[in-house]
Parts: sequence; structure tokens; C-alpha cells
Amino acid sequence: MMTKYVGQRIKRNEDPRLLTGQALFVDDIQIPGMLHAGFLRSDYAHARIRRIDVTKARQRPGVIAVYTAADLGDFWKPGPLLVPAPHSIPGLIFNKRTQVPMAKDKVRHAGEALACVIAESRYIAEDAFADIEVDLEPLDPVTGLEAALAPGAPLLYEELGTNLASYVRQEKGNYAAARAQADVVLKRRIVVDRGAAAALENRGYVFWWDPKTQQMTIWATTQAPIALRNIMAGLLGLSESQVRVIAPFVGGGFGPKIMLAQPEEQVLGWATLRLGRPIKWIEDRQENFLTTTQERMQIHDVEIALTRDGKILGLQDIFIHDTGAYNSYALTVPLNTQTHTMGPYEIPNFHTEYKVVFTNRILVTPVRGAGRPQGVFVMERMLDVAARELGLDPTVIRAKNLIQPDQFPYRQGIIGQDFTELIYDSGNYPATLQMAKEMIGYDRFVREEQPRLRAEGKLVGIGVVCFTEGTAVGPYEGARVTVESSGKVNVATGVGTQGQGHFTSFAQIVADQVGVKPTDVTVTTGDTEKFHWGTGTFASRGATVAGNAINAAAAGVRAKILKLASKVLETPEQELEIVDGVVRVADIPEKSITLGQLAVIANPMRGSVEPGTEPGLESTQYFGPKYGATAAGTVAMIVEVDPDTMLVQIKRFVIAHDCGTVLNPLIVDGQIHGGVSMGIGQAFYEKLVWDENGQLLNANLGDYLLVRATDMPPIEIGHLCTPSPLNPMGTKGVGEAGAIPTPACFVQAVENALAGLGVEILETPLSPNRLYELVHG
Amino acid sequence: MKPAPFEYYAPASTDEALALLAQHGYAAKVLAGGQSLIPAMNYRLAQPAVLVDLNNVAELFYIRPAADGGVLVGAMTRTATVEHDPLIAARAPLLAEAIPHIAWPQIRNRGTFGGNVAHADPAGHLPAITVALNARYHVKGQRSDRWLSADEFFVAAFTTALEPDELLVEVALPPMPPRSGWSYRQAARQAGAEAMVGVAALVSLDERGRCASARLSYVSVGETPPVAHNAAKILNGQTPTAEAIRAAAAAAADSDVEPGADIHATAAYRRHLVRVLTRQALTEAFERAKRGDSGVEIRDLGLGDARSNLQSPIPNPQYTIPNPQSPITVTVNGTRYERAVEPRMLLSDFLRHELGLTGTHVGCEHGVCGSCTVLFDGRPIRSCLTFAIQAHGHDIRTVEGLGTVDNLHPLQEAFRDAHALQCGFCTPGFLMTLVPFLEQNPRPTEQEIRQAIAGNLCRCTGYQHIVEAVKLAAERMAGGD
Repeated sequence: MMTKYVGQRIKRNEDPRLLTGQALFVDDIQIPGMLHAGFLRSDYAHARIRRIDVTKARQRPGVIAVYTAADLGDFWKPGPLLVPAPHSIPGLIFNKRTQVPMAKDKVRHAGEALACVIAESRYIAEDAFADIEVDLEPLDPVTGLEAALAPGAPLLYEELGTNLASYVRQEKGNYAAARAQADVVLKRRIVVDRGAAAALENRGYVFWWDPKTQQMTIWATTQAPIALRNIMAGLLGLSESQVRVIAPFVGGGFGPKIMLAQPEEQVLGWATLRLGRPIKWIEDRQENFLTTTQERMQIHDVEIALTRDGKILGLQDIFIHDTGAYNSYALTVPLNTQTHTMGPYEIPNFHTEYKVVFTNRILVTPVRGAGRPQGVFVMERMLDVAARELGLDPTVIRAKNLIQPDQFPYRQGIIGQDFTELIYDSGNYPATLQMAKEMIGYDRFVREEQPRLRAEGKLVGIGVVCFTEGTAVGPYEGARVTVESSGKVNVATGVGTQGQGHFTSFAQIVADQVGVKPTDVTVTTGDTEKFHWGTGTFASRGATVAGNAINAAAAGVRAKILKLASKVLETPEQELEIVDGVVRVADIPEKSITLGQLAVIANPMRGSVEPGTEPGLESTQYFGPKYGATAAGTVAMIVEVDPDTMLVQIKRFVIAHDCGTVLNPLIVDGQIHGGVSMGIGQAFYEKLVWDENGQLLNANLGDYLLVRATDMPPIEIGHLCTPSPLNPMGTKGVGEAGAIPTPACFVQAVENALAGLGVEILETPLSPNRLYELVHG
Repeated sequence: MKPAPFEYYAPASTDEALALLAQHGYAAKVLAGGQSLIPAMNYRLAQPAVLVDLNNVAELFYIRPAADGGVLVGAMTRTATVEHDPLIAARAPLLAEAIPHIAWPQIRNRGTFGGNVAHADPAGHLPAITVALNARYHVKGQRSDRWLSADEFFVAAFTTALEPDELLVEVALPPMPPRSGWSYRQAARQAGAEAMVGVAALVSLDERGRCASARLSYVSVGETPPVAHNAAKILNGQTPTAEAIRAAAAAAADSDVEPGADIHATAAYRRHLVRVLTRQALTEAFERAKRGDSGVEIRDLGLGDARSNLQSPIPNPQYTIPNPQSPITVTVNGTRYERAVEPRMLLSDFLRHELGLTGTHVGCEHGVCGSCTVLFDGRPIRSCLTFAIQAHGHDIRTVEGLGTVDNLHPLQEAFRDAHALQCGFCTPGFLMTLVPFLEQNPRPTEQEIRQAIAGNLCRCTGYQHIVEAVKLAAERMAGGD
């Protein structure tokens, strides 16, 4: 394929509208007669509901309706399971408990909806909360992971008799046997705490049932418009063709916007069917902290078995994973942790086992990284512990255990989030390590700079971390590419977009195939009326899975163009070329026809065509990979810790990254930068703190710290390219790359800076206060 | 997160304000900059029945030289005004040096000196700084007119000696003693975040180089800003050697403060910070005293200025007739709009939903994320922390007032070229912060750029491409493009 545009740093098609305030976001929608919803939420984390009286609220001027669980009647039921449990894993336990529309009988997390007020304005809806009488009997909450499993622990679901949501055990090789042969066995407890995805745009919806057309339109901040349509149709007893979901511009996703059938969606769908008027609900920032799904809390008990020279014989990781109050998203996150613990390393024997527990907190679902950062953190910490124990340089022990380029495809032997065996398709891990070391000047820093700076009393440290990123999983995506009579080309696909630049990268793919400029390609994503097959944007899969479907559809259109043009221009196809929207005979450029003219010819209005002719220059194609492509990389950073305050400054940050074929380096760099900043957040700033009553103490952006421009170092990126054999374009995902290794690297660098103070760090997020405690006891 | 309804008054003089406070008593709350009050109202943690807005009381906006060589600061003087004022820089450099640590430029453009002091937040910077400066607080009511010392003024956390019918109208900062030096040191987890500990130090030397006075006060380590009397005792009359400073810092940490714990810092860590920051502050202050430094340089990022007030140039009708729907006239992007609004309507909601200017985005409604940043009389502010009614008679500029899709502003063009936006939700807030910044700083350094955008959160870009876009725009704009 010609690649005039793929691979180029092309500026984005979507930017002019976003830059001028002309891009439509959900909260920008105004419809005459539109109502506004607000949800009264529980202050308690765990409580029995004695009584909710909304009589007074219904009488407030401007209030249209007030609903509680009782008002929903038969509609009230636990929502659907969004992701199946991996029943292919033997011995799996999975106790399904999915999210309900509003709390009934019992509240299971602070912020759970008790009542929905629908009013003329959001201001009035919130006024009406004061009119609602709520009588809750507080119960002891479950806030700790181990406490959840302790005998006599309060139970979220009494009928289960336990807070155990799941149990999964997987084994590759024989860890016990490996351990018996090891020279060294090291054991540690490693803890990763909870954080928020904190997209700048909170969740939001407009639900509009139009009784006259019998159609429901839903504008949603979703990563998965088609899946949302299907699920809402099912819940509301409508046909899928009666429901249109539009995800307009979405202000960041980062995982939680993949969630479906959330309480607000269920209630709003039900309410607009009743009221026949559009209803808007925009989550506010406080609700975002209390009700948008979160991630990362896990406690690992890890053991690593090695030879004296640092070769890993086996690893055992037994962990507890917090799923929060419900487990609608099943086991994607802990499965990712399992598959990413081995990372780029050869681990012949691996025993991995986890328990998932219910706690009185908002549920856990993927947040950029989705279980992967925890796995990488565990492995990388253990390698650092081992390196110290064995007197090895941290980069040497890593190099010693990396999977080599000639070992692909490499079977890891355990089941991953796509329920198939984890196989690494391709890569060159030693090259990423080497590149990162060179970029940051590892050897010189360790030999010369660090000793010199330490002699000046500066606490400087370096970290180097290798990682894999399982990306681009199935099942499939599709696309329809159409040449329009204007000569412009339209692409419609089913994935949602939240800033990844799909309007541009997809246009580049089509531009190369069809022979137009990327600016002449319009991309429609996230409108089920335009394309209604697909799954969604998650797991760093959009550019690869949808991208390859688009590539196939565009190739189909190219074939149609050439076939028709050959007839019209009376020239064999192989003598034709398509340049800037014109098909011409390569040797006689003046013998030509525009794509627009061809599109008109391809859609005859009268006369006859040969039987079997498809009209138009259009093609719809689908792509589903055999299994997910695995991207990889190495990050390195240098930090300086202020010995007085324990504040940490990142002096340098480099990443050597391999995501196969790059469609647009500008966009890939941006994805990496953003991922890294979230990783830095998780390492040092972003920690959700609950008290013993299950109350979130920092449900605001003043106390929950997102990384600011003054916290970020410049990021230096090195690109390597090992194309994936799993798809024709050779791409792999990159969306989560920065977030995955960064916490582990930060901790390693800080620990290295504090070397000599006897500090070992086995947790994130850190804080200056926590470092002070670690140093001063 | 929308405020509960309230009756709104916008008096034009101190006397009118005091009359309203006398009339409404405990039901009334004074609205100064509103940068602490409005977030609390948006969370409905504060639900005052009556708001008395002082933003039209022109006589409270001033910085004046005092006869004794000190400075008088009117209560409604914007924090940004104090930050950029040459008289403050010369006569109260401690203040000028500390103010950049208060939140972010957009907050300082709206927040006021008197409001911050009277809010008496233990984590506030200005209460402690005024204490270190030995300020006096001028309090007025219809029946009272009194000057209080810090000991008298600060009563407890969020509590001052002000009666419900009284206003803090002015703060007097006395002249610094001869041969004095100052320092402000703080430890915050990030730029603009609440200080875990802050130390304000003002010291002076006698003619033989011994410590003549040492006044230290602290942020975030007590209900009211504590004064380090024990530390001062150790230093007074002594040559401020490293050893003496170390002993004083230890005394301050061990016996002058009573820190508490919160999610960012334990009491033990705070005590540790008091020790190390006191040592740093005293060292710097004595060095300055020895060198005879006078004043500080004003750091001007172009994001706030020394104009002494932002009050409405046209009379506000709201003083006499409290009305659930109040008529206002606002100029936005050069177009004059007349609308009736409920006083509680946030400016962000007004722009977006009443005027349909949806380019201004709302991300937090408590002033932290910066997505809703707009220009208010040319200066960036948070539109979620301003009521629409307060924009009456003012000039607002939103992202819709920059370039168009077909004719981007050079900054917008640079954002596109450098891939400085991904989801684009935060972008309008960045642009509205950066336009005045670049006008004032045509050749900014990377550090200046990062400081200028520290008050705007972006979750997608890691800021790197934004910084590059600003550099690119600066180059092009300087090149006369």
C-alpha cells in the first residue's frame, strides 16, 4: 500500500471546531422542553433503607417528577453483566452482583442513588433534595480488602454469606518445583491503592423518547455507543432500531465511560419513556468522585524464585482485588493484572491466584492501564528487590530475563481478558531497554553524575522499567467507507472517540487507499444511526481493530473505483492511478475522471445495470484479530528528592516504545504523554482516601490532586517499530502505554534516590508525607 | 453542584453595606471575591439566605502609603492587585513574595485581600502573613469602628472577632523595622495546592548585626496563625548563626505550633516541615537583612495586574430591589446582552445555557480545573466562581471571541500544529488563560509557560504539547505573523 499519509505527523481534522468552542459536547445540547435530572445520593456507605418520602419534593414548583426505586416497579432489577466471567478457567468462582437503578432496601456505597428529581432546571432539582425525607439505618461498612474476608465481617450481600465476589487461580509450569530448586526466594507484600480516572468532562446524558416517532435518542459521554444502544433497548423493551445513541465530542474517557446500564442511564431511559420529554443529566464533580467507576486497589503477596546469577525460575503472586459494591464488569482488571505481571520477561513457572472482594465503595472497572500497572508494579518491584539481594545492577537483571526477539510468537500459557491464552505476537524487548538506557545516559549517570550529585548532598535516583501492554483485543470492529458525489469520502465506524484523534488517523488510512487528502475524508464515530456494528473503545484497540476494518473497507472502495474507472476511461486497471481525488491514466494524466463524477456514475438513476451490481463507491468491512497484539517499551527517569520536605522532582523522563506501525506520530506522542502524566499521578499525587465509615475524604479536585503542568517533566520519546503480524497494517495499541510502567519507574527512582537510608518502597501512590514516614519511621 | 437561592444585594458604599448587614444580621453573608464562599455554596455546604456583595463598593479597593511608612490595604483589593503593586513590593515584600503561592492566577484575579484575611482559613496564606507583619485590622459596623491586633482579630478556625453586622474594611501593614529581612517558605504538594505548612518570617538586626526582632507565623499548623514566640526568644539579642537558627527552628517546631493531621500531612510530618522551613526562612531572612535588600521584583505573567478594582462601571440595579429574576446587561465578545437572571446563576451556566456560548466548559464547579476560564474585563477568572449578576456592566471574553474555524487565532493555530489538544474539553480554558499571558510575555520561558497554565488541568496531553504550542505561538506572534 502507498503510505503518503499514514505515518506522517498530520495535524488533526477535528481541531478547528474544538479550538473555537464549536464542538458539540453532551452538556451543550439544548432542546425545547428539555428537563433536568438530579440524583439524591446516600451519605452512608452501607445502610438499610427504612423510608424515603418524596411527597414534599413533588410539590415544589418547577419539579416535574420524583422517583425512587419503589416507583420503578417491575423495571427495577439488577442490571446486566457487561463482560462475561472467564469460565474457561477451571475452578473459577464468580458471584454475580450487578448495579441496580437506584438503591432499594439497602445502600452499598456512599453516593448510591436514592431518588431522582426531574425538574425545570438543575438548580431546582438540587433544591428539591432538601424536601426529601430519608431514613437510613447505618450498617458497619466494609472498607478494607482483608477486613472484607475476615470472619464476622459485615456483609454487602447477606444471602451470599461472604464478601467474596470471585476466585481465580492460574498456573503455568510448576512454581513449587521451581522454588525448591532456587538459590534465592524473596517474598514481599505490595499494595496499590485506589485512584480516579477524572476525565475533565464528567459523565452526562440526554435521553429523549419521542412518542410521535416512537424513537429514543440518547446523547451520551460513552466509549461504547453501540453497546449502550443494545443494552438500553433490551432494558427498556425497545427494538435496537428504535434507539439511537450518539456520542458527540467526549471530554476524555480513560476507561469508566465504557460502563453501561449505569444507574443514571437506567433511570433516565425509564423516565423519558414515561414523560415523553428530553431529560438531561450532567454528573457534577462531586458525583464523579462518588459514582464514576475507579481502579487499582489490590494487595499482593508475592514470591520470586531465582538462581544466584539472577535468572528467574518462578513467580508466585497471590492477591486480593477490590471490586467495590458490584461486579458488573466481571474480571477484566484482575485478569489483566495476571497477564501483565510476567511482562516482557521469561517466567517459566508462574502461580497466580486472586480473590475479588466486595467493599462498600463505587465499583472498580478499567481505568487507563486496567490492571496492567499493578502487574508491572509487582514484577518490577520484585526485580529491584532481587537485584539488591543479588548485588546486580537493576538493568542487568532485567536484560537477563527478557524474552528474546527470536522467541515470538511467545506463549505465556495463562488466560487473559479476551478469554484466550496470552500470546505475545511480536516485539524486540532488549532493543527497547537498550534504547531507553542510551536515551537517559544510564551508564554515565550511575558512574559519574549520581556519585557527584550525592557528594553535594543531593538525593538523586534513577529508575528503569520494562513493560508490555496487551492491546487491540477482539472481538471485532467494522467500517463503511463511501465516496460521495462531492468527491469527499466518508467513513463511518462504531468505536467511540474521546480525544484519540480518530477523525485524523482514520482519515489518513482512507486517504492513502482512496487517493484523496486526509482533509477530504470525514469520519463519523459514535453514532449508531451511521454505523451499528461494533463493540467500543477500550483496551487500546480503536486504531488497530477499527483502523484495520477501515483499511479493508477503503481497499474495497479502491477496488470499486479502479474497476469502474477502467470501464469509463477504457483503460486497464493497472494503468490507472488515483491522485488527489482524480483517477487518471498514469501515462496520459489528462485522461481522467474525478471521484465525485465516478460516484455519480456508480449510482445510476435510470437504465439497467448488470445483475449483481452493487451501487455506489462504497464498502463495508469488518476486522477481528486472532488475539490481541502486545506492545512494549522501557521507561527511565531521574528524580531528585528534597531531603527537607520529601517533595520529589522528576528531572528527566524517557520512554522507548514499540507499538508496531505508527499511523500518526504526533498522535502517538500525545497518547504517551497523557499516559505518563496519569502514571505520575498514580505514583505520587492521586490517592482516594476513605475513612473508617466508608466516606471518601477527598471528593474534590482541591484534595484529590491531578498532575499540573508544573509537575510534569519534558518527556523524551524513542520509537521502535516491530509490526504486528496479527493485522495487515501491523499496528498495536498505545493508549495505555504511559500509564502502565510509570508508577513502578517512579518508585524505583525514588528508592534509588533514598538508597543508603534503608528504604524499600512497596506501595503507590506515595506522597511527601509517606516518604517522610518511610525515611523517619 | 448549584448554589441554593439567596437574596442578593450589591451596595455601592461601605455605609450601605453596613446598613444591609445591620438589617439582615446572621442571615447575611458578605461576598468579597467569593473564591472560597462560592465553591462552598456550589457544594451547598454554605447556604446563606442573603448575600451582600461588596464588588461595587469602590471605596474599599485601594493600596495607599500610610503616614508611618507602612501600607494601608482596602479590604476589596484583589489579591492579584496586591501581588503586582509596587508599593507592596517595596514596603511589604514578604507579602508580594508569598502571594504567587495562593491558588492560581484566575483565583487571585477575583479573590480579595480582605476576604482572604476575614475568611480566617487555617490553610490560608494571608492571615499568617499579616500576623508576621504585625498588621492591624480595621473593623467597622454601623455602631462600631475599631482597630484590632492579630491576637484580637483571629479567634478560631474560620472565625474572627467580626460581629455579623461588621466588615473588615482595611488592613494596616506597619513599616518594616530598619535592617530587616523577610522570607516566605511553604511546602505544598503542587503549585497552587493548599500548603501543608507555610512559614512567614520577618526579622531585623541591630547595628551590631544581632537579631533585634524575629516574627514568624505559620500556615496550616493551628486554628489561628500561631506566632513563634519561643523561637524569637532564642534569637533575640543573638548573632543569627546557623546554630542559633537551627535552635530557633527546633523551638518553633517543638513548642510554638500545635499541628493537626489531615489527608495530606500527619502532625509529625507537619512538625518536621515547621522545623525545616523555619530554618530555611530564617536563613534567607537574615541574609537579606545583612545584605540590606529592599523590596522584591514584581513577577508579571500578564495574568493579573495592578488595576485596583473590577467594579461595575454602570449602576447595578440590585441594591434596592431584590428580585428572583434580575435584569443584567453584559457585553460578551463585543456583543451586548440584556437578560434577566436569578442571582444564584453561575456565570458559567449563564454563558453556556442562557447565551448558548457553549465553548466555555464546566469541569469541577469549585474553581480547581480551569476549564471554565474566561476573561473578565481582560483578566482570566473562573466563571464557575462568579455569579452572572456580578458580570452586570462588565466585559466578558470567551473562546468564541478568539478566532473562527476558518480563521484561527495564532494561538489556536499553534495548538493545532503542535497537537496541544486531544479531547479538547479543557482547551478553551487554556486559551483564555494564555491569550493575556502572551500579550504580556511575548517571549516566555518554558518555566513561565508552565507557571502560567498551572491553574488549568488537562488530563489528556501531559501538558508537553501545550507548552510547545505556546512557544510556537510566541515565536510566530513575535515574528509579526
